[in-house]
Amino acid sequence: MAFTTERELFEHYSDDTITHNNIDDLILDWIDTLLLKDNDGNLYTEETLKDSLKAYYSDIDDWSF
Amino acid sequence: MPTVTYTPEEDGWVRGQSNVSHAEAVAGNGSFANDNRGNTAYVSAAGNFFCSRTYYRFDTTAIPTSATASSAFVEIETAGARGGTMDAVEVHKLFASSDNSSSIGAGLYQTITTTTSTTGTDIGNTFDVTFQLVIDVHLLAYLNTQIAAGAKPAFLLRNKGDYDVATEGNPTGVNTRAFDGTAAGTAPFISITYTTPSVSADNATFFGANF
Repeated sequence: MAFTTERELFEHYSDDTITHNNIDDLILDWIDTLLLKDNDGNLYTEETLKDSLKAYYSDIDDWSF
Repeated sequence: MPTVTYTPEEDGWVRGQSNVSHAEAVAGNGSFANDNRGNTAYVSAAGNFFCSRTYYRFDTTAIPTSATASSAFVEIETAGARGGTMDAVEVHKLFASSDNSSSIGAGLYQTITTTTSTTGTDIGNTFDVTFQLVIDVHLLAYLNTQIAAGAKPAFLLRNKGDYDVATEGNPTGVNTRAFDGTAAGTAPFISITYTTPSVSADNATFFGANF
């Protein structure tokens, strides 16, 4: 799915359980609720997930974080 | 016909992952568990694929072993939605688990059996909505087997990206659905309507004649 703004991406991934419209809140939600871990069992970091988003959604050029 | 409901004796989500494919995450062993909450995941993030299932076990042993369940369902309430709106993350089915005694842990991830409901349920992408996951056909037969044995039924809730990974393939991005568990929100429950054998006509006549 192509997104061109960070706001579009946020709206795709969030419901109103996340109250602030920025990707940082979304990333923290993933870290806190999904508890994604690498192969060594370490929790993904904020930076790792941000880099992953940037790789998937390369049409977005207005990353504010 | 009496109808009874029970909240889970044990519930939580369990997860497997792979850095090769979602199919490998589905088929492999679990590596993580989170007690008292529900979640299913169809996720690709930072070089790994993640598959989550939710385990429910109910203590139904108060039901007479002579009873036969005629209908049953598990009711859940959605607590969150992330990512896509495709069948892979929204259509769900219950499967029988081969483990009806362990505490929540990663080992429960790979206890799925081939026994499942025929009917799938599309839970959509909104939250604070209740859904009834139908227990029918083969899964209803499993439930009746457990009741007859005085054993507790256990289930794993799976999304289509999990149980039909051959069709759905690898996910893109983070796609999950969360459900209230016994720790927070509205607890899930199983509802069972059952019948018990009636007193036969021969016995009724016998007692009638003697009293």
